[in-house]
Amino acid sequence: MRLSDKLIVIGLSLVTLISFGHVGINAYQIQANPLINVREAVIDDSFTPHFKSIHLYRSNGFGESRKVTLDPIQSGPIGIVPAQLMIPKINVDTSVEFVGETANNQMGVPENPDYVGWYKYGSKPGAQGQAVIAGHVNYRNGPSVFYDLDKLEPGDTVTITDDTGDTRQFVVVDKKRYPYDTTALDDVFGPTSKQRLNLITCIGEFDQNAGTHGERLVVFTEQMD
Amino acid sequence: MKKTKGLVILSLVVLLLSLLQLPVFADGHHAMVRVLHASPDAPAVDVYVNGEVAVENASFKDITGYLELEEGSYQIAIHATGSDEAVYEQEVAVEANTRYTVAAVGLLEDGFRLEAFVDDLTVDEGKANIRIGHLSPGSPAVDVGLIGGDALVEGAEFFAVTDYLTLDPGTYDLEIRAAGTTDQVLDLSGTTLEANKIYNAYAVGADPSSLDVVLVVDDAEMAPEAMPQTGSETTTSMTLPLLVGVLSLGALGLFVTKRRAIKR
Repeated sequence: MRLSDKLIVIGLSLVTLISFGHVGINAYQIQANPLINVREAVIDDSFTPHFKSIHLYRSNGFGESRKVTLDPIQSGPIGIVPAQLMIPKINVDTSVEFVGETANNQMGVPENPDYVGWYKYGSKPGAQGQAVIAGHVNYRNGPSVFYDLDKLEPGDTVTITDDTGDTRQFVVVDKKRYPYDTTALDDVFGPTSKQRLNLITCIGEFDQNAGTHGERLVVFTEQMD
Repeated sequence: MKKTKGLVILSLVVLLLSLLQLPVFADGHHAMVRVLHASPDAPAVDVYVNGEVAVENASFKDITGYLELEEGSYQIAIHATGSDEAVYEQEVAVEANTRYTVAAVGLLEDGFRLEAFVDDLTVDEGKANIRIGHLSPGSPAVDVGLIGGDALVEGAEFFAVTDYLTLDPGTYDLEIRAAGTTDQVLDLSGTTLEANKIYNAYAVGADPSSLDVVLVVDDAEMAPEAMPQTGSETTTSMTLPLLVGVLSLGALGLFVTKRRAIKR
């Protein structure tokens, strides 16, 4: 054999040995590694598995979600939406319109002068607070629905019915006159723990300069038990 | 004529009566105070104000109507219903023209107290207002929002009552979530909010397992700035007396003539 041939054989043998050696070690590692990992997992208690169902292990302090249906409750007595107003003493039996406020923040008035208007942003009759209903004393050519409102006296009764027929009875407790431009609106619209219904109309001389009656009559009533 | 005379007398009486009007009767310048029982382990209670019973037999999750109090400081005492002995007493100061909810919160065993917060019963026309209260002593912080959507309230902890949020009326699929997560705690889907109403959603219960929501609704209660225009300039008030006058004069004339005719 030539020296060159010997070197080639030795070189190839070395390469063969190293190659097989690598394969052997590799095969051993593939077999051994899972065992090591599992052993570690058992020992290591800081290990946290990341399952898709991670929500089963919620740690937010709450349990499973529950469905809650909310039924609103009201504080205090529940009022009714007025549909009809009856005041036997002064022969009033009329429909109730809903009124809001005019452009200059006056309480609105009913479009039909034979009807009355309930201030819809305030209390409902029968609820705690002061529900307010206004009616015209007159309109263009004649007396209107609240023409005789001033004849009501403490003890007279007023009845409100809603459109399901639910009825509330009120009794007159007081009446008062206010200048048309009064700022004491709280007296009439402000909060109270009582179940009040206040009736308003115009009264007094017609003020040509102001273009309105000089005063407002307010009849205060309270729900009867 | 007799009727007119009656009317004149009546209106004179009324005028006189209105001159003799009693002292201010309907002043609205009070504090309005209501009580919410949000202490999960407390029994039904009576509430005494300055030694007088003001609320009787309020149970957990009950809210009372408003009491009317003059401005000032009050000794509020909580008694187990029917008992003469107070389990808790606290001074609460209230201002005129203000509404308060006074909530009994915490566990009777631990941290029981009264918390007072101001109610606002005004709302923009056509809108609904809602606020959230975290009144569950054992529950962690929560977010409240649309299911799988934006939070309306973030990180509310015991004890907290949020400001009012203004929403369009409608039905909302709301949920309570653990704060800062997407984890649903309570499913409040199908909660309907109506226009011109004010809602208070109070999360109550000792701990997460008994967490519940008390939804208190109030009608908006507002006032206009001026009295209504309930009259117009007419000659109406003159028409009726004139008519009656003319008719009665005619009748008088007829009567007198007839009488004379009979006499003859």
